[in-house]
Amino acid sequence: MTEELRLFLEDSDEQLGFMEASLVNMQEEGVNEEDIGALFRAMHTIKGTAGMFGFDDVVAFAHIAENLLSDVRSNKVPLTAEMLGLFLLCKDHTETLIDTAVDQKPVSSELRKANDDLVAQLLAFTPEGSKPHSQAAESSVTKMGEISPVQSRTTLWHISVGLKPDFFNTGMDVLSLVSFLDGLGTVTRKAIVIDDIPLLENYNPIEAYIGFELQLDTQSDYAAIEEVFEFVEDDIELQILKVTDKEKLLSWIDGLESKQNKVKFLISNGFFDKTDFVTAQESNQVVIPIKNEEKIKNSSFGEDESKVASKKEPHKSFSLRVDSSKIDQLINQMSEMVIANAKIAQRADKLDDTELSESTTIMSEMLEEVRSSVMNIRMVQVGDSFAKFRRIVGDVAKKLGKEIDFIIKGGETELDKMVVEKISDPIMHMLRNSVDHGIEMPQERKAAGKLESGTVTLSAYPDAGTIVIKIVDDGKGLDKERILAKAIANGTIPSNHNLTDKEIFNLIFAAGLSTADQVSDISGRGVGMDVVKRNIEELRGTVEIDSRKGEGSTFTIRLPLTLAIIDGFLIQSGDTKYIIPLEMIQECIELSPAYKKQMKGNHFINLRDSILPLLDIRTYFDESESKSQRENVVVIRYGEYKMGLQVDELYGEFQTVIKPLGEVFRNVPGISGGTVLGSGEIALIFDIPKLMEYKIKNS
Amino acid sequence: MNTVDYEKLTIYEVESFHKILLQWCGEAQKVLSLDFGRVQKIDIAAIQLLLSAQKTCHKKSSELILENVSSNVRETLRLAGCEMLFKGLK
Repeated sequence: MTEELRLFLEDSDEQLGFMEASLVNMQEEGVNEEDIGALFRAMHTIKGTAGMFGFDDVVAFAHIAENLLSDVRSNKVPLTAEMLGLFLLCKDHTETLIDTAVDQKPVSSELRKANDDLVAQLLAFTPEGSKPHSQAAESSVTKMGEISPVQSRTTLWHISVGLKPDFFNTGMDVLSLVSFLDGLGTVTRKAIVIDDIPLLENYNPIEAYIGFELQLDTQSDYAAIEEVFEFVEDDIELQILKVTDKEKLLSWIDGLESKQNKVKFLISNGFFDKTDFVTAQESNQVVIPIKNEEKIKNSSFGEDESKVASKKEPHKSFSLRVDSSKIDQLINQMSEMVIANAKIAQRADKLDDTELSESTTIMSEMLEEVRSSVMNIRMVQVGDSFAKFRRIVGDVAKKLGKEIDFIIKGGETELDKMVVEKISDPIMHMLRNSVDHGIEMPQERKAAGKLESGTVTLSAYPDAGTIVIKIVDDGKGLDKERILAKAIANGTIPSNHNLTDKEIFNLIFAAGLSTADQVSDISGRGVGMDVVKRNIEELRGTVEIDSRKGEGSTFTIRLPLTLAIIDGFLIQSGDTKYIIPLEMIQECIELSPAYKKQMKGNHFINLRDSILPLLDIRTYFDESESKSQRENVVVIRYGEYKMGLQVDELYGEFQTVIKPLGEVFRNVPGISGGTVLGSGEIALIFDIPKLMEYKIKNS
Repeated sequence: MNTVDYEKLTIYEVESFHKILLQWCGEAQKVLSLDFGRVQKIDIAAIQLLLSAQKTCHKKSSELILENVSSNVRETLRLAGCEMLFKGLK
């Protein structure tokens, strides 16, 4: 199986998972908009990606289901318990259709009947006006290939054949054996193992280097399969096992020289799942020793995908798979230690005990080191995750007949694994949009005096304690007028609006706003951008758009480096202590009487000849009067914006363990979390982007 | 384009074809395209050799493309599970 197909399978597995989760949730908790949205998006995504691979029967079926879901979403059709059941069946059916298409199996008569039944049921719920007019949709499966007879009680076998070096001397044709297997049943998966083939310079033409991994669905038993290889048994390494026989699988892998490569190969080609290589006792622990990249990359002969990865040194060491909850636990325990140590330090200060003070300083340095090591476990290079976008951009471009140079920069930038995973979907959506709506057709570009092939750049780099991910295209740019017209028609904004360019661009993040003229497989349903923004905000990140007509658009995503501990700066305003993320602080200045005089009641000061807007924290959070003699301004920078926070006391650096706030305080604007100080007091952590947003809106 | 001048490409031909490929790979710039129009039969030993040629091309950032592949050869490549590994087979 190709890398692309494997990614498609992974993605559709995930989408099917979302579908099931939201359906089951609605069955238990009742129908709700959020789950309906999730269901629709999952079906939509599957349709889109299946379309790229030309899996017409999946697309046709998903299209019908998606149509009905679209009506459900716009409240044209109420979602009943009966329909929930039907959609669950649809989910299972989609899964089967995908498997059949990926394995290039013929569609069985059973499957065809199931498809027709489900389509009929879906259409029965669909209101007349929105029924798809294509007949093809209904009969697409019916038309497909021959019908295989329904087999009774077959077993799925895994067969591994490795040719020994002098296999060719036997005169046997290994391919005829493979085709003979096909006669015993259905070969559902097949992959050639090419890792050991040397380069031409070191190649001996009469030596065999390859092997095969096969999956066979058959009524025949072990002996019958073994018999196929009877004449070559001395010249091959043969392994036959039931796919469900985990024990045998593990003992086979265990006996191999290059187990890591084999495990990776089997997983990446879809023969087994990661979990199949876990023994019962270790199920929660360290699992597969996997060697990094190189081998698997070789075997798939990916075109450009190794370019990003090739920049970094291949790791020679082994990787471990560790349950992420264990790392979370470790981080939590670390956090408690940091707090306990702060407490000791405070006590030492109070007692004026220099020796104890010194020890706590050493301790906190060590804690800092351990903390950064632990945090590092979670960090991965974004390049690996970015590489898969090549396929998506390439496929979308091909499908639309556009020419696109896709450039990835900064693949070695490191980011929290969880953040990388969660940001992947939003980036995919934005890239698709850039290719679909941003880049023009080659002839249009030529007419506009641009190069025929468009450029889409995906880059990542660290900046002031955040990671910036940018998607830049040199397409036609966002059409302000169209966005406005659509938003007004939609009722998102009133017609007498007074919006800046940036605010207009931001409208594309509003739910249900798509300016695409045609609804296509790729985009144009108005799903995505609202979800993109929500996903990014869930990660405490922000997204910004900049665009010039005719020149292109830039999407800038800014994400926090980590999610658990930050270096903070402790301040006080009124009676409350607050934490400001240290990386965002540029400087602290005293709000001297001279400045105050300058302000004349306004909320900005002249800082070295540039205007600095101020936000008075005491007023913002309605704090009591200050007891402090002097007032201070903490100058912070986030992205291209600068702002001063007017506060009372400055205490200095403080290692801050982010603790989530309870339900009641979760949605307080401007506060992202809390932390416990050494004294047991609580300090609140500022949500700087939100404070900035507030200031910009109100100034 | 380099013409593969064999009707059959099997274990009997791979030794001489190996030498030819070594030369072609050495000369190839960005792309090494092989005209397979004449080849009617291929076996696993030849497929393995082609895979090695592909690896070699890949190493020097060039690309191996098979052109005019006959249906017989195509079917053999499919049977070996590697039709997706070669460029030019659509």
